[in-house]
Order: sequence, then structure tokens, then C-alpha cells
Amino acid sequence: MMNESGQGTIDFLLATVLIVGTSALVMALTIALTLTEVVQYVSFSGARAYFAGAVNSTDQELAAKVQVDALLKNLPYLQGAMNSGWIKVTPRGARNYRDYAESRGAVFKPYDRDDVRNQFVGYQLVVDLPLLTFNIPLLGNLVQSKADTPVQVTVSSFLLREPTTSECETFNNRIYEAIINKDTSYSSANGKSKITPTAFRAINDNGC
Amino acid sequence: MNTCALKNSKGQAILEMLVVFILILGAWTAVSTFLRKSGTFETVFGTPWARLSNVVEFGVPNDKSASTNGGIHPAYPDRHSTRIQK
Repeated sequence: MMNESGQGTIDFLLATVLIVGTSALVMALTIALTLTEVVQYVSFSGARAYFAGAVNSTDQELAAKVQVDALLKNLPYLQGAMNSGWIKVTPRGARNYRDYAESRGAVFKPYDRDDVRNQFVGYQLVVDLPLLTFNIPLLGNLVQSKADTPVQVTVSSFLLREPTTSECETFNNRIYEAIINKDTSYSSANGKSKITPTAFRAINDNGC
Repeated sequence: MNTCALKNSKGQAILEMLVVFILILGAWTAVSTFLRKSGTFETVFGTPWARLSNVVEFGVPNDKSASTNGGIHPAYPDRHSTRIQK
């Protein structure tokens, strides 16, 4: 008992538990944030696919869905984490997310009407991070979470979207109707008593 | 020559080692139980997580509930425009 042999072993054992636990905390937090950044890219990529003009808005939504599904299926790091149960990603799709903003407490002014100015248009995903709810031996939980309140964060990319071909046609037809209705002489052009709106065919040149 | 077994020191080191080991283990268990019950690590890391999740969702590091942060989202008009109300 007079010598100190074995003291190092005891210190090593106690320090190992503390260091491994703390390292696990830092690693979990780092991995969670890295995965969140990857999901942020997925939402951006979906919003970018949704942004590009198409025949109609359904095609734009489909383009975003195809892009996001492909990324969630093929991104190596993210796919591995999803398979391991570290992260769960739930796509909410591409659409107008003004209701989301209002549910988060955003109050829009009368002159920020949905049809005039709304920048909450894009792609959104919900990320659950079971990775952060694990119990570290002897130290406890990193983030307390019950089954009904998961560690969750919403990731969005709002890039708006270009008008579709059908929206451009509708817009151009409204211009035509406005001209026709402006004066009776316009409505009897070419000797006809009336030119019906269907007689006009809008040709879009690179958008509207 | 005294041959009584109680008079020598054999086994003394092992006994003391056991006592010390039990004391250390007990102290460690007490500390870890206290840490778990008091939620020390949940406080140390959980509060920053609320802040971090707000950074991820809204781009703003605050501790408020996510349900009240819509007005500070970068897409919210007041975050990126200055206008005079008509």
C-alpha cells in the first residue's frame, strides 16, 4: 500500500468514462448539425427544381418531388444516417407556405396580400433527430425528448417559382379581354360584330 | 516465535484496495445519479439546441419558441424590404 502502482489504472478508468461520454455528446451534436446542413441542401435543390417554369404548377411540383426523392435515396452520408435511424426526413413538398409562416406567428400586413407579395414559396422538409435523444452512460440524456415531442426542426428553402405556361396564357388572355372591353370599336374589328375571347390565341415568348 | 495469523500484515493491501474501490465507485455513482436526475447535460446541451434549431429554421439565434419566430424568417417581408404603407 506504500507504493502508487495501480493508481494510474484507476484514474484511466474514471477518465475514460468521462471522456468517452463527453466525446459522444460532441460527436452527436456535430453529426446532427452536419446532417441538417445536408438536408438544407436537399430542400434548396427541391426549391430550385420547383422554381423553373413548366406547363403548369403540377409539373413544377412533380419536378421538385423527383429531385428530392432522388437525393434522399442517393446521397451517401444522408442515406446511411437514415438507414441507421440517426435521422428521419419527412418531405412536405413544394407549394405556397404562407400558412406555415402564419402558424409560426408571422403577421402579414394588408398590402402583403398572398396574390401580391408572398415569398414563402418553395420546398420544405421536417427533420427528426433521434440521434440527439440517446442516453449516455453515467451522464444522462443529451436532449430530453419524449416520444410525442421528438427533437425536430423544419428546414425550408423559399426561392419562389416562375409563372407557368398556362398562367401566362391566362394572363395574356386577360390583357386581350381588357383591350376588347375598353372600347366598342375594338369589339367590332375586322367587320365582325364581336370577336370572342376564344378567337385570340396568346403566343408566349419566354414567359410573360 | 509468534505464529498468530492476526499478527502479520498479509491481505491488508487487498482489503484496503477493496474499501477504496467501493468508496470511489460509490462516489462516482452518486455524482452520476445527481447529474442524471438534475438534467445537467440536458441543460448544458438542450438549451443551445433550442437556439441552434432556430438558426436552422429561421436563420436567427434566439431561444424563443419556434411557434413565435415567423416574423423573423428571412422570407418575411419586413426582413428584406422597407416600404411605406399605402
